[in-house]
Amino acid sequence: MSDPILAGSGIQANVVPGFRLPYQRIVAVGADLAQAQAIVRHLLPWVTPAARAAAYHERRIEKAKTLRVFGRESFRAVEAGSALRWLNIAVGAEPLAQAGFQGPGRTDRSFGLGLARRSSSLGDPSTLGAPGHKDGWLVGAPSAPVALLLILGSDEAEELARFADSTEKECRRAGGAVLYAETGVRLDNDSEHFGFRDGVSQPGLRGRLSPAEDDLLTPRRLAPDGLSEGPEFSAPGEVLVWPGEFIFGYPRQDAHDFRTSASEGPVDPFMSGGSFLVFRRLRQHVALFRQATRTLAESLRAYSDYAGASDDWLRARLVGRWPSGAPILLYPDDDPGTPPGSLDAFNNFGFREAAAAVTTTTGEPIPGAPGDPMGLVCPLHAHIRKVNPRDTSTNLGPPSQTQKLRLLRRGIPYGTPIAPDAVDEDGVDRGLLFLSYQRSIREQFEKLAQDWMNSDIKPEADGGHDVLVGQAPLSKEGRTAVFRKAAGSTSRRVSTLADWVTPTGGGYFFAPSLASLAAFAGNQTEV
Amino acid sequence: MATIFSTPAYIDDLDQAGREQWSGALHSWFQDAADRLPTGHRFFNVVDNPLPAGAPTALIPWNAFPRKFTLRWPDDVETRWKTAENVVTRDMNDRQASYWEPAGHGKFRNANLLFRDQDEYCEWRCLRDPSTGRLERIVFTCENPEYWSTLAEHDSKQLLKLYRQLVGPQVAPEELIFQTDTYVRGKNGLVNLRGQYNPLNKWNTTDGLVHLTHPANSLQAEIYLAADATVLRTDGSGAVLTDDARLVCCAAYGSPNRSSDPTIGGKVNELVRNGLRVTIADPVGLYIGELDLAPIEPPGGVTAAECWKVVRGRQADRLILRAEFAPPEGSDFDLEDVLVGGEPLRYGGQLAELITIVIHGVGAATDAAAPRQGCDSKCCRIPESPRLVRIVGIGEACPEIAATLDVEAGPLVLPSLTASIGETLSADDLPRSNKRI
Repeated sequence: MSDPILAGSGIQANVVPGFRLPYQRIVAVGADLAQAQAIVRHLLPWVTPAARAAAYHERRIEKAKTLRVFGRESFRAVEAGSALRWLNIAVGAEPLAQAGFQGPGRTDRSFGLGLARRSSSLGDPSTLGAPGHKDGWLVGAPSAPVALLLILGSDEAEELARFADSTEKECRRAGGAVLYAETGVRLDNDSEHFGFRDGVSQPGLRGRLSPAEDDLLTPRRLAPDGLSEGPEFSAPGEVLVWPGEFIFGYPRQDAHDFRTSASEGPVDPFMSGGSFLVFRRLRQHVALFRQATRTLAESLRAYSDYAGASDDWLRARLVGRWPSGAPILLYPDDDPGTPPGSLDAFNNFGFREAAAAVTTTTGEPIPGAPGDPMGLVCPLHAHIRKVNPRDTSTNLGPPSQTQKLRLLRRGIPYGTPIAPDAVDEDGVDRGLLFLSYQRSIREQFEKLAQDWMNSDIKPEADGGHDVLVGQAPLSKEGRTAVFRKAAGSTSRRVSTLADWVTPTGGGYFFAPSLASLAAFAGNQTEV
Repeated sequence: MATIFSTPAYIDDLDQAGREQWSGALHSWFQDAADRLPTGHRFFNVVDNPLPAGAPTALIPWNAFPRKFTLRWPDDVETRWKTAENVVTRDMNDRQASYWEPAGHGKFRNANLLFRDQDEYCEWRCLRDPSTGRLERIVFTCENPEYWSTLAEHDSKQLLKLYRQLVGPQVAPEELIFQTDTYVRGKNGLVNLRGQYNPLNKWNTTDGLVHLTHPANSLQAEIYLAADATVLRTDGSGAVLTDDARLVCCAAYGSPNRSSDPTIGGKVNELVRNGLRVTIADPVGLYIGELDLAPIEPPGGVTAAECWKVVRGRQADRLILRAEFAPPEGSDFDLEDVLVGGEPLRYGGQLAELITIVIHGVGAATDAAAPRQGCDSKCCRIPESPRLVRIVGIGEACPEIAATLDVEAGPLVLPSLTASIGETLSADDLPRSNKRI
């Protein structure tokens, strides 16, 4: 079956493809139904369709390759003098239900309940007054429900500020309240505030933007493998996933087979082309992270077989990658800094089995990687292993099932970076505006957090928690990391009670197609 | 060093002779399981081959809530929770318990005994206030039926005492016994169980819960599965299979629609691929590993931990056999005042989704090459519900699946995933039981 044709003019950008813009602003709007509809009606012309964003990124990447400029510079290189104004609108459960669109709430029970009510499922503090408790959130607290979540993006900071100003004025003019607005900026090397490159691995979405066979949303950087089963890769380590796992109305991933699509069944027309959005504002206490991970490393060094473990060595194992994004499975001893060629060289690995060396369609040789089923190199608790076990079978099923738990991550850091050598908190609020799109908040985002990140025995047994971003609110020892030198050797456990990530807000939303947004706004009677 | 197998979670229901009887039964199942394997196999037991010091253990976890319901109703959480509480004579896959009653003229028909349609080696029962219907207590078990049959055979007084402890004083001894001719087919032919322990008696099905009842939830099946999974499997090109889903379809050692079977088989096979001989650690059993308490919010300052009571087994070692969730004594709320993931607790399935079941595997290094086999079987999609698959012989054709199908519709019970069972069968045609008899 060839890739399905996606409605490029109907799906909102940021669902696919991601905005990826260096400057983005999240605006949470409180409004009653009529106000929310008026706001959407006024902002609808600004909403960016997937096709426009895809065409822009294609031009940008081509030009960047020619000019050899990367990161933020690559955005400026595309079309000088025409700064971008991109917008994505997502709607909360209450206004959707009030407008008569019951589908999203019925399809995803967690969406209907909302993030604040579901926060205990994510391991958030449930003691009133505790840092991170929902009642104290800056956005999305039960006392201030969010009707609309706007994501604005631009390639220039000043343009984003102007766009935000006019958009927020529009919201207020329609009677809405801007409950929260915050700008995120992509950091150098696409790092998050702890200093690790983020977003190296994303699922490869199957889908075309036109009937042309080669008009693919996810460019293929690997030639077809000629196989009939098992995972199919669009790029080294990038497994192709059917789009129905993220966008309603398209074929879904089959639980038993990587390559076969599963029929979606009838879809509520309002939901077709839409996707659920999770927003979490996660404050990162960087100095605490540095201090506490130093203490963890000291605890580990107390074991003679880990006497040589440096602080950076331990931090890389909590993540599964070095700060550059290099996986420790390929670079167990030191951070190589930059990949030998493209970033593809940092993503060609599995955990259970060895990955073969491959050559990309551009002729770049990508080295293979050894398998590590017992977590002797990349520990079972490493963040990248917890949230994407790749070829490993889990408590929730085989690897084909695991691909159904992937997310389209669109997060961006907020706040200024801390000084590189700071070991004390400087009082600055910084962190990650976590954003992810998925077909099911309950079966994807929440399952990853509750079942895997916050568990010390899943998805792979007895490896410890995702110490980096997991939660273990009821564990007396806190979050535990387990290290093993060899299959038969005694495991070494180190734990921390330090909470270096605090949830400070968020919400569950639905990002409808442009036609459904119009229907919500009352511009059309039928979708 | 184990000289005999321990009882599950080292529970002390049995006297020394009873413990030896249990150990003997386990030993025979391990041997039977090993006898089915090719020469040079990598399966062993800790009584005949004590483990070397430092042998690597492998905790194998899976989720207690039946995966088949999640596959069947991916978006309809309420239907999943509700359906999972049904006590049935046929499960969602049309499977029946293998107990037979005479149908005249030398024929037999299925006795249609009731069991819970919960097939991940964890079963639960909700106790509700008879006048209001509100949920008061949920009891979970992962105790294997074979152990209870051994207990019944060895010490019927202790059996009755435990039933009265776990269910209530109203349990009468005769209610635990087959009162009519009821047959199972064992190794040596038909066995009439009349007068013997009935594992599917009403105090363990409709009116109570003591041990596992689903036909797939047997310890013997678990041992056979672990043994069968030690054989490396190769595809048509000779490549060794590593994917759990493909392995279970190829080797047919369990149901591909469950969380448990592919996970256990896949992990065992992985240990063998990594150069180990494998077995199930002593005490052999299936255990509740943990309940994730974080999403559970009882009212009035009570903690979730105060509501979770381990009744049999040991929490510290992840060896829980039976546990209950109920307000602590003296509380003035019922379970529907407890929030789980932000909504009132109304079904046991809400907690089963937060429970992890485990078995404890263990390996020992070996230099011997593991035997390899091709595939005996494969998986086909079930036309009525393409998210589910069934295992068929490797040479059989799979049924056609419509390109677009309304997968949400259709009957609750699907066509049989196992061999079809006719209305009446002759003694020779009865399927052999894995039950302890």
